[in-house]
Amino acid sequence: MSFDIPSDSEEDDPDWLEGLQSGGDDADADFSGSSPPGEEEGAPDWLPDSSSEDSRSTSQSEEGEVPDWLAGIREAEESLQQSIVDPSSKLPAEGDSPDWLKSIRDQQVEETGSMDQAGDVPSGDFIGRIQQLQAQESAGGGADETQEWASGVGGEESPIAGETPSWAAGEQAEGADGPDWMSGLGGEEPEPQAEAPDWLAMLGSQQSPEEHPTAQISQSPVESGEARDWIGDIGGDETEPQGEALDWPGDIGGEDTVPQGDALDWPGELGDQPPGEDTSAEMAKSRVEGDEAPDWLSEMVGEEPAISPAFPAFTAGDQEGAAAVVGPDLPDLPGEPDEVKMPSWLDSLQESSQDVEVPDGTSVFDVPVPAAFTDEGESFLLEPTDLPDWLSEDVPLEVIEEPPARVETGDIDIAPAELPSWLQAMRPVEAVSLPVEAAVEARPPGLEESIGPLAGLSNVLPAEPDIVHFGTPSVPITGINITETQQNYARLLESLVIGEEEVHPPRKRVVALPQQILRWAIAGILYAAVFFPILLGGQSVPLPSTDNVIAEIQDVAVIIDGLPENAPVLIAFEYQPGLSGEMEAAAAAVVDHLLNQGAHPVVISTHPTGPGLAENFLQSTQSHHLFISDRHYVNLGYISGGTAALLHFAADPRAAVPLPLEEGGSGWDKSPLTGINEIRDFTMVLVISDDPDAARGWIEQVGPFLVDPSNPQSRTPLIMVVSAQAGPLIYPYYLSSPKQVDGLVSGLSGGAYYENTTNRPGLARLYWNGFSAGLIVSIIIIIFGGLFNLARLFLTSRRASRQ
Amino acid sequence: MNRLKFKAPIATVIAILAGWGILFTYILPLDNLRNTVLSWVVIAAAAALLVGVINLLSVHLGKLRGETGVSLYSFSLIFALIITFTVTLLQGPEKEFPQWLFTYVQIPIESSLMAVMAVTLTYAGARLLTRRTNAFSVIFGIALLLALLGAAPILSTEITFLREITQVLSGAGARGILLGIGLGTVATGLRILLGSDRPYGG
Repeated sequence: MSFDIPSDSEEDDPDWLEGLQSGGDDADADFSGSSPPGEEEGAPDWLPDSSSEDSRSTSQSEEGEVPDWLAGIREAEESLQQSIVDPSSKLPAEGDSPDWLKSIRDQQVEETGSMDQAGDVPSGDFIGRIQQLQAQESAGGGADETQEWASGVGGEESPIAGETPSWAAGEQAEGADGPDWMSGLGGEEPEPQAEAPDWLAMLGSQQSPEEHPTAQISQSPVESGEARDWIGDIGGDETEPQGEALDWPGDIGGEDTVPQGDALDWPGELGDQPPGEDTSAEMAKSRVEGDEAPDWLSEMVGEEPAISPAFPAFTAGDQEGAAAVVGPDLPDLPGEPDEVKMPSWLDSLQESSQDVEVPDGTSVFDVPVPAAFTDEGESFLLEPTDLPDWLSEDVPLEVIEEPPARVETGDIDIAPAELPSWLQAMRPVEAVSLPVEAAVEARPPGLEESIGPLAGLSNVLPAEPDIVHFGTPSVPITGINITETQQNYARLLESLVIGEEEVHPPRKRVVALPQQILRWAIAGILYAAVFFPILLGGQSVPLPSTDNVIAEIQDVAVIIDGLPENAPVLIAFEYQPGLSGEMEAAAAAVVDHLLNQGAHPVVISTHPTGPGLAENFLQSTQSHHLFISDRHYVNLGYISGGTAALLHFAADPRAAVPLPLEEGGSGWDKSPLTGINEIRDFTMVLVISDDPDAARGWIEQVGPFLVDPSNPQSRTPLIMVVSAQAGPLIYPYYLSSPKQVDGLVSGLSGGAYYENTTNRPGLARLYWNGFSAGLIVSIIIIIFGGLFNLARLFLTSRRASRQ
Repeated sequence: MNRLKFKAPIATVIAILAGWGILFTYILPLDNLRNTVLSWVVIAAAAALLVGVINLLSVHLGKLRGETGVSLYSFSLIFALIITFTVTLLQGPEKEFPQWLFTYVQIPIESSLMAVMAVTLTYAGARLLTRRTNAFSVIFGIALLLALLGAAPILSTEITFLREITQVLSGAGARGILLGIGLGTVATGLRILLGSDRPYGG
């Protein structure tokens, strides 16, 4: 089977294409049937020449610069369709079909002779043909033939720049420029090749309809014997051993010296063509994309030149692996394994790869390299000059140690953003940011960061000071900007809070020296004026005259004079120990008068110190009375509760003050309390008080109980001896009508008056001279002090007015 | 604060109920009930007095343990309290030693403090016009002098009309005060009875 490959080689073909075309090994010869091996001149036939490509490109400009070979395929298909539709229609004339297609047809003609033995095969069913071939092989040959074509594809010849691979070269054997089908792809005249598969004939045929590969296919079924030939031709070198059966991938990958990285340079080389000629692959690709080309061809052509140099899979060392990868699934290819020869174009690729320097080292991808893709002696790679620029560049597979290029922002004008006021307020104060700024300033300007994600950038804030800083910072870190005024307020608030918890000792009042002297002077004068008359015992100052009738005092005398003998009199001691001197002086004469009248005193108090004061009063002022000295009086003690206790006592004295006796019984059953069931059973009630509230309590709480409900006119008299400070507040009760207080003795003067009235000299007489002197001194001091202050004030104001 | 909030409504309710109850005892013939409640008050008042004494003791004991050091006044107070309480509790208030303590310790101390007040008041009277010089200060000074002059005979001369003036003026003032006290007492009682005033933490 041969493939008619048009051999338009008038134009300059890329080197690798020329290599393909010049490949004229046996495989190519068998494959093509006519092309001698070793021809490595010119571009492969299946790839159009530059001139032919230009002509075709111009002709195909309307098709969007479709490659010539692809255009040929289209035309072939169109003719095939026309033949299918109208079998009577002729295929495009011989002059219209591309040369490569013609060559393919010629090959097919030769092949159909053998293929007819296998039976009719529908046109275009190349898979069916392959199956037929397999069947023939299995009947006639070994299974190794399945690998023959693959090994034959690899071939011994390495593709070099400008050379077609061996298998491709074998295809061009018919023509002057390698296998016919390949030459047909390149626009050359198809060369008769004995063994060209039909599907290849379809691709390259541009010959007459009878030379159309489809027609050839339909007309000449593939013989089983010769069907495998094309595959074997594709395999290339027949002398390749079985071990190298699958060398073609390795051949494709290149020689042993070819590193793994560039093992498959030929795809790149396919694209690496001179500018004027670097359209074959694209054209082929476009044809493949546009038309329904076989997948293997589309894969070959469709691969972009952008294959990385680190294409991993194929190296020049692992041939066995390659053999394993390829596997035995390939159909039985014609020819012995040894007879399978690599196509010339593959050989040319291998030869060209010998000169390509591929860096040593590990492959980028850890993939076991098939043995078929490694070849010790042959290389499938194209020459470096055929590779595209980007493929031919030696890119070292190294770890990038240098940091990436620094981004130059000098040319970029970046204006500083205007921060809003609220954001500026959140800016940390300089005291906080100083460490960072200091650290930044300490670093040399323009220093690039060497580690971390910011490697390569300059003017980066140092992270180390903030990261490795332990402990409390020297400068307090604040998140907000606090003004001095706010700090002062904060300190003030803190001091106030702390001050609430502290216990401050009482401050000593500091008095100025002149004031202290004045105080001592006043005290001395007063003490002297009061004590000397008492110590001297003088009574020069007369007592208040009885000519001036003081009614409230005289009523007391009258009431007491009217008491029967042995009358129980309730005496309440409701004053404080501090005012005992005045109260004893005021009440001594009254109590003495009572005792002289034969009254039996019953003492009670609502103050805790009352019972003690009562005892002291009676023993100090009334001890001359035998009744007192013998303690024949009753002391009811202290009743708690204040006003409530008075009410309770007034309502039920026996209940308020129980008097249990040791020998049993109650003290209320003994004299003088015999017959006392209610408070009004007392003959008289005498209240001695220095507090107006206590006096009012007796008046308001006890007074109503002193009135006999059966006879409102009968009422137990209530007499009060009060201090001079409480007299004015109790006097209205005396003046009320009906009287709530029957008699009132107020202060030392009242006691003196009562003593003068009853002609019973007592403490009042004793204190009267001193009292009078002290009173005069006090008046003088107050007058002189007032006058002095007024004069000073007048002079100060006058001086101020003058100034 | 949570305890106070819990107790306050209950205390207020009890105060209101007790006030209305005692008031009704004056209207209705419930004298026995009133007397019973009053007896409870007497006992509670006595207990409150005892609690006050204990609180005073604890306060001064805390001052002794305070950071400012031992306070002499607090120590004296605690010492005197313990002695007096113990002696009076064992012997009784009418016995000789408790009476002696009262007669020769408590009465002189309190009397002396009252006597110093006389000097202080005289000094304050002399400096009355220094602190505040206005008409009211002058009127107060004149009234003070008149009261002092009418309280006792001056150089064996008794000025009775001054006494009558002061007595009338003072009586008038006292009446006004007493009326205010009476009205305030009624208003306070009504506020407590109606629950408007809650002096028990409500």
